[in-house]
Amino acid sequence: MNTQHYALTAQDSTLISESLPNVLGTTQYIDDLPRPAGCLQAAVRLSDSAHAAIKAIRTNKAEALDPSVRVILAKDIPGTNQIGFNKPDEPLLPEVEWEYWGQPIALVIASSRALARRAAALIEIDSDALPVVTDPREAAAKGDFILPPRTIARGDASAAFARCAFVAEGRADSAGQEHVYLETQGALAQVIDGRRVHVISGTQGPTGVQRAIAQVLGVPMNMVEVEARRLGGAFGGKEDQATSWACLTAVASWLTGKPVELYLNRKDDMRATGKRHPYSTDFRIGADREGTLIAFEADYYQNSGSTCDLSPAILARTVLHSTGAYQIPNVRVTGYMCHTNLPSFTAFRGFGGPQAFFVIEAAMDALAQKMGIDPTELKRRNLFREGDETYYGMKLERVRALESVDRLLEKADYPALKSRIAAFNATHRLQKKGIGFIPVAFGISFTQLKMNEAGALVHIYGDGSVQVSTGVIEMGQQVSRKIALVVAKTLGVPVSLVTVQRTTTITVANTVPTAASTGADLNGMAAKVACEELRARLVRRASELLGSRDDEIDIRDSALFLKGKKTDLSWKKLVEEMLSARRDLSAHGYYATPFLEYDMKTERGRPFAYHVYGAALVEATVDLLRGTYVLDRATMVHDIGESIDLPADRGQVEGALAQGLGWALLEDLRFGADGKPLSDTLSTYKVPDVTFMPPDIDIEFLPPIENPSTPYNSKAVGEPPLQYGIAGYFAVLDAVRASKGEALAYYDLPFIPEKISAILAETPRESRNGVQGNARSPTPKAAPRGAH
Amino acid sequence: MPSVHIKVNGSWRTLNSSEGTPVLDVLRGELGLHSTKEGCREGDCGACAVLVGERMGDTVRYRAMPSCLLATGELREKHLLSLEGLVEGADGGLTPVMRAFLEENASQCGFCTPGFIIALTSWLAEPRIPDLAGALRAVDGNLCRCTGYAAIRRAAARLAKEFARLPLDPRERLRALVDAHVLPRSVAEYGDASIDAGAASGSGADVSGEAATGGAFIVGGGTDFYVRNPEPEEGFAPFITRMAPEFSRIREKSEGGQAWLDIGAAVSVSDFFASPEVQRAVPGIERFETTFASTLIRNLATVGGNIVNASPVADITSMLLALRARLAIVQRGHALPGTALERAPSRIVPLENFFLGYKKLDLKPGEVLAGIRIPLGGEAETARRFSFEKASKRKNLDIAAVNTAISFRLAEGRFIDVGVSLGGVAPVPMLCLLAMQALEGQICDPSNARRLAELAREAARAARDAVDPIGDVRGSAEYRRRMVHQLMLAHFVRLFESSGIAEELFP
Repeated sequence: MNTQHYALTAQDSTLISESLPNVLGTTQYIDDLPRPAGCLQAAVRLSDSAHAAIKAIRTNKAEALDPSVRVILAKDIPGTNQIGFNKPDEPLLPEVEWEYWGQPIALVIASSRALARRAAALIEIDSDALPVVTDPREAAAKGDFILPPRTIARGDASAAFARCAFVAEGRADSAGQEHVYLETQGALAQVIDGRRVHVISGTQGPTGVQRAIAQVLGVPMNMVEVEARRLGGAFGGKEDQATSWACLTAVASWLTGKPVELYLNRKDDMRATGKRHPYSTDFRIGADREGTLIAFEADYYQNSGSTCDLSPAILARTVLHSTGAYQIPNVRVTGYMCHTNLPSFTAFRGFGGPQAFFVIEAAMDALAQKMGIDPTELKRRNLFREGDETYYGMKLERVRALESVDRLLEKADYPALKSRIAAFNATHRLQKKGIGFIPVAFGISFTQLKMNEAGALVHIYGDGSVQVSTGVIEMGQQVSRKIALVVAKTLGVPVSLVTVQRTTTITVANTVPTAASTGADLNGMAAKVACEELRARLVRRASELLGSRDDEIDIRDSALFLKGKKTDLSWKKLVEEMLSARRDLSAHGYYATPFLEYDMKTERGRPFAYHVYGAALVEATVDLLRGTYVLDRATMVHDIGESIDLPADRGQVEGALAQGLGWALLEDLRFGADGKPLSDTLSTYKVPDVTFMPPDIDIEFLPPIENPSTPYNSKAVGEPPLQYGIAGYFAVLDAVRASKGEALAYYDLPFIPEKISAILAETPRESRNGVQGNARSPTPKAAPRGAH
Repeated sequence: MPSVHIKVNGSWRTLNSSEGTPVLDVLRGELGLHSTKEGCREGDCGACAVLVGERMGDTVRYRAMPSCLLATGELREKHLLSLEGLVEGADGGLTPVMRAFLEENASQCGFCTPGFIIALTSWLAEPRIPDLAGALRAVDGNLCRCTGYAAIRRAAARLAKEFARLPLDPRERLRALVDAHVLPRSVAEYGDASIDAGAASGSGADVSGEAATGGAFIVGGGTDFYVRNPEPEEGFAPFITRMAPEFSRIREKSEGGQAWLDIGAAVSVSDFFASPEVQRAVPGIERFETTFASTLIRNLATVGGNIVNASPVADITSMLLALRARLAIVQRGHALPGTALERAPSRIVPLENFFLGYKKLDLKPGEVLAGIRIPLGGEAETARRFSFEKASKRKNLDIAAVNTAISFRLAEGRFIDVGVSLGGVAPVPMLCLLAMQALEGQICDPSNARRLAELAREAARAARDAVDPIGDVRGSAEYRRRMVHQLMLAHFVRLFESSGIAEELFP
């Protein structure tokens, strides 16, 4: 059924070369790098309770293990023991107390990793237990917030409910999600000439790491170089969460004068690092008799974990995506950043967006149940239209919501699909099929306006080959290929002449992390700006040589064209001519996304450069006997604008779908009431494998459309398709309903077999009913739930 | 400490690392080969997969295994292949599997890619017709967090098409794969050399005597041992049962009017399910193979190891319990090649009596589990009916919340030799005697769906009422109890599908 299967073709062979080291196994991740002479290995000692005051830390037994062992504690940090930048609440190592189970207390270095780990276990820590909070609503009840709550409102939502013919309310909870980047966190630090620090870090944000290292060492940023090579996956988990490991190795290297490597084992990584924020949300939604939405309210209790980290930015994305792809006139949404004794929850692909989409989709589902209509019809009726103004005051342009949805429903032959499923369900006792549908409108830009900028440095070498450096991190999203293509296209040379360099703070400075799906947009534009400048110089020189005007010259396919006619001047020759004439063959480009504005006081503005649209249908079959499900098919229509690199974009959509489906249905992040991590290995935390995914994945890309703020009308692709996984949740729910009627309403993700079987086992009378309309007034009963 | 002599990619090496060191550490440490990645150290991600070649009769066999759980001592005289070795001499510097990954864009961040390439190379080396289903099974122990597997499926489908006509004879198969550059020349060289050596010595791997007299600690496949002990002390040299050929055989035996299938404790789970003897004794058992771990693990894990690990939710143990298996225990001194199973075991223990408490075994110091005996019926026996069910979050490579197996025969229209096992509901894997009593001797009339449904309900209720599980991250107590009931019904639905039992159970 793959109607659009793009295989790479021969002319793409140079793009293939980007992946060549991967398939040969020669790509060097941090732990594969040749170790500098005398390199020490590090291990961390993690806390083994969720909240305690430190009384004493004894290191003598650890240090007695081997002469090479050295333990580094908070008191040893030469500069400021602080790496929190949104809020100074994150010491590199704790001095007074620790705030979650798995927090690094000490760094141990030794001649080998095994020794360091054994020594770490020998550190003795005396502490006094302190109270533990893991439930965000409990923290909220105590008023324990990371930062004050944030509300965005339009109209008068609470008054508008009185005008609604149908109102549904309920609760939707989503669990956290562990990134499971295959390469765990690590860093390799080295002091150079006794005064400068060079750190190779597995980070998405080298500048943030550079700034933090400078701070903990007490040196200016120009003494610190941070380099990042290809990461073995990141997905947001190495945006802020990579910083501490780089800082720890830098401190250790600074104190010993020796190179120090830290590569976390999986369990330490899963215990110590942050994950996607769990949310618990109350919602209320209302529509008129025709099913046109009138009002929506939501209170999001974000479980922020122990420190601020990126929680405010993640919450911003939640409250800016509260209505999903729907236009709603009266809206009031409030987000609470609840401080708990769990690892500091952090960026994960989608960045607060999926949590918001899950809530609005749950609300639409509840409302459709109330009205007794097909949720797909209700959703389609309320999609954003051209010129709509969002509840935060952004006028939408080039809206493609309806276009995506109608194309999807046509492609899937929706009415026929519905009757096929009904026929299946009528004839199958032990299995039921269901479908889930989600439309997506995802805003692109960092919600912190100042972050929407990037730089690039492009060199043309004397032989005509081109090298580009930007601030972007290659972590599997294949952004390097896109950057190379933008450079090649702008300069007019084949992509085989272009290489993309690893990212380091000494070539491009003050960069933003590779995040928010903006890596290719921002860095591609910066590279384009640099190339345009180079191209102008090259054209000037060519005009001099050919005796023409600049606007009569074109460079393409490594050749110079005069008034459309190919000349004898080749790219290589022109480059030589540039050198002879002493012209600069290097250029720095800078790009800042235009037209962004947002007023935090009024909560109005244009926070996004554009939106990415799309829609997905997922089909599932539930086994009623066992409470299990299989995913049969995912059909998507997605807006990538004018793709720079179609196979890369396709890979992003497919990969995001997998992570979304995993979050919605499978990945079960658990903590005990005492804050103990219960799913801290890959044997207890399961992510999608090859058999979990639907065998039939069909993606159709919408035709190109103008998109002026990106290179060549492309569109960001990393995060938007992750929301498609939410359709998997509703597909399973639809199948369960085929057996249990209107059962369920406390929307609780992931929808694991245990929850499915519990619903299937309920007799109708016992069924928990969290969706209630005006007629039934009691507030939803808080359902029993885990620690998320 | 005996040093280990193995062929690593293109050349023979004598390793300094000790026998108990995981192969992953030898590769990345002593050998400086970095294509093999550390992802989890518990066999759950496949990033560390390697190909292991060993002599099997008159040919050699290559299988993918997780190197983080593989003892170096296991590789004596075997052939270890990593990506560095696969590309030696490959056409244009790439093997066809690598090329398929490149051209289908199946590698994004690349960290999982070497493991996938190893697993798919192993799939092509299996002497079967390669199809997509087989390829997906081959990578059911490999995680990729970037691609969503779609591009990997496309690469596998391309390979299945490209290699549809590979010979099925194991020796010709390897030769064809070497010619096609899927496997390197070193495979052909290893095959020729080890078969010659085997012919000269006239016996199996002649290194086992040395291995069998090794360290005091006994390790089977290591797939449980190394999860608990990921970084063993330097010099660790266990006794590796897989290195003793006597521990790796499956044979039908009889004595004093009793017949049984003797399964060596070190038989790998893959070989167990593939065995014609096992399939004859337990018809249909092979369809439950993929419920156990992953292909990578099954290639390494042993049947005996699954038992002595004493997990309350061990899947193979659960199957063997229902089959009323008995264990042959030998004294350590007898555990020498060529003797262990020939000699009368010192004790025979019914499997259900082997578990004394949580992770506590009826196994004294000096005793070794040598084999597992599955009782066979007499000549007049009717076919055994068997079913296995497991509740877990993910279908593949996941540890069960609850598992259960059922086995019985039908004699003169009645249930006989009924065995019902339950895992995950008590500190030990157990037989469910109440469910067994509910069925034993009852009339089984496939045309009477109503009666069968009644029996199913009775057995399911009996099983549910018999258990008092605890809750943990894999499932609450309530869920486990519910699943015991549901999975018991599922056994009946599967085994009596054509009787219309589903309509009776779920009107």
